Amino acid sequence: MKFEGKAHRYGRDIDTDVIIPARYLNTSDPDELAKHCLEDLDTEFVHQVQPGDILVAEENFGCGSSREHAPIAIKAAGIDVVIAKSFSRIFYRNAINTGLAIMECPEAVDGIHQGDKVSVDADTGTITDETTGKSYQAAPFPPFIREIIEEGGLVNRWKKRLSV
Amino acid sequence: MRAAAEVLKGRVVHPDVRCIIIPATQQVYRQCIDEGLVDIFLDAHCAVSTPTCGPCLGGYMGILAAGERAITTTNRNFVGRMGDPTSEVYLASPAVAAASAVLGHIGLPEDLD
Repeated sequence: MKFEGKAHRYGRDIDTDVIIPARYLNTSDPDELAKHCLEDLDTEFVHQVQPGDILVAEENFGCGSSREHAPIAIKAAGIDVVIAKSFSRIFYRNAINTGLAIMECPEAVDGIHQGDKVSVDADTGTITDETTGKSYQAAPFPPFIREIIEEGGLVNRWKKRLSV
Repeated sequence: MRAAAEVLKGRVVHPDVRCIIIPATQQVYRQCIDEGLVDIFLDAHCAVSTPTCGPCLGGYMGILAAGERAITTTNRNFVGRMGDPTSEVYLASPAVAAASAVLGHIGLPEDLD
């Protein structure tokens, strides 16, 4: 799995309430959720994000509630992969289960600037900042996690397996 | 609930404050009724709800308006968590929340007398 896009950089403890505010949880429609992604943190994000872009954040990304709407909103907004120093436990599982790629790499987060062009090879764990030319090494996905993400999440994976 | 009732017994909530009491479960709700705590809350001019997540996630039953400030015994004070993004959420123990409801500002049970 390879990704390439522009980096959108945020700080630490980005919680699920700013990723997708609870007032929009009356829908599960990914496209509707995407319109409000991160709006209480940065009203410009949804206007600037392009399909394939990359989210970069510091420690404890996705802390807060267990809402799977958070990774769904990020993915539907166009983000292919989130690189953070660390992820909140429930968000980490929700991201994989909803098919959003995530990588932990503190060195990359420190090195990547807002707007840098970044490429990611999730199979090898290599993150390259194409703007600065620097490369960083994250742990690659184990094969079963890669498969879940490639198949669009856990529900889609089992739908396919059970042929429903 | 007992800690809040101990503070609210014989007192009333400040007129500028709305005090909403929400039991977490049906069992706690029943216990509050059986132990007479609901009577204490109602006498203190509190609104007592059935068990619900309520305004904790900004859903309903008392969500915060723009600029409104809450002291709450829930566990998250993220931006916009309980309503409008410009509202403020302060987390506290039941005793401090109850004392603050009576005082009309954030304070301690010891500040009441």
